[in-house]
Amino acid sequence: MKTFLTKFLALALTTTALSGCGTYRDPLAMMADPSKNAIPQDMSLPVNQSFSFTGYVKNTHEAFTFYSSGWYGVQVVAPISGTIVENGNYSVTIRHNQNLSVKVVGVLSQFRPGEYLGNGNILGTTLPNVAGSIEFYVYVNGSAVCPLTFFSTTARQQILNVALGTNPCSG
Amino acid sequence: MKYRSIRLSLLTLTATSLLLGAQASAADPVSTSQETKSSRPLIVGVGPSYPTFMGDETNLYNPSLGVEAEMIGFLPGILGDHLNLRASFQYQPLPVKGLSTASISQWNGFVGVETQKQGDFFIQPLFAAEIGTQFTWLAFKTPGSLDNSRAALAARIRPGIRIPVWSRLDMTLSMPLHLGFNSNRFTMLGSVASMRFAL
Repeated sequence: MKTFLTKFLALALTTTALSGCGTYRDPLAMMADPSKNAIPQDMSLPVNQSFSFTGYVKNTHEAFTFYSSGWYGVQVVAPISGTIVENGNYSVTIRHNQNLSVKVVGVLSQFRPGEYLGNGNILGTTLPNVAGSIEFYVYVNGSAVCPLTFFSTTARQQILNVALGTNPCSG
Repeated sequence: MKYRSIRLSLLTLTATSLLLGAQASAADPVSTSQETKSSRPLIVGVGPSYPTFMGDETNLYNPSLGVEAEMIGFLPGILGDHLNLRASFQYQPLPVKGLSTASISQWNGFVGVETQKQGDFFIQPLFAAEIGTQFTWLAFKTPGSLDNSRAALAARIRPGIRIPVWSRLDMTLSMPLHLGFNSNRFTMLGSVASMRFAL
């Protein structure tokens, strides 16, 4: 009986010691949504520089294009917190929660899929030798939607100011 | 009238006996299996598992087939006649909805105790309580990506039934309720069909 209890205690201690072990972040917590799957409305702009703005709608996707003739290698920031799930061909996808992902195209980023970024963290830079423009997509449940409503009030106002009164979501 | 009543009672008794498998004979797998309990102190089992996610995970993961192996030992000197020691190991993939570039795998290892209703019933209810570790691993398909993993304390309670199949072979159907004590309390209700063999 004593031997059995000793083994059981050893097992319980091992289990307790193992708890919390692992690499980087807890996958279950990363995939789960801390804000109960709410659609955020606090996205920041992917660039801190002054920019021109184009919003357009196509048959297959919706996107905003931010551009400026002077952008060569300027910083691009993560517009929202989340896990990087794709990075390739100058395109980075950040998964915020099970409902919402954002994709930034035209960014040179060193982050690897699996890494976590906070809102406003530096994501990378625009391409060094191409007149800078980045495309910005928001996917809700896998479908691209007009990104405007997901930005914070300040960011939304900045976009509307550059859009000169036109509705960026209407093409 | 008296004989008719007796005949009716006998018929009812026979039907009930057939239904519950109470007609134990020398070749009856139940009695054979009970004999093996004392003479064969170890049982191993393996079978598929299928999860139903609960809570916040309901819309997060696609249910996917896993596999579970188990081992049951009889230690009457320590646990008495009604409790058996059990250990189980489970592999459960957790495909994330809408995320095709990555996959989550979960390995669960548990030890605990199991008890089953003794008696003449053909199908015997059983119940187990287990404690152990869940190890979750998130891997991306892109080469050079960063893997995320975490071990956490987990517990399970598993009601089920045991159906004798043949001599040393039993089938168990159980529904383990899995509680993972990671930061967001992972919960799933499994369905496990296991074939057990007494060694």
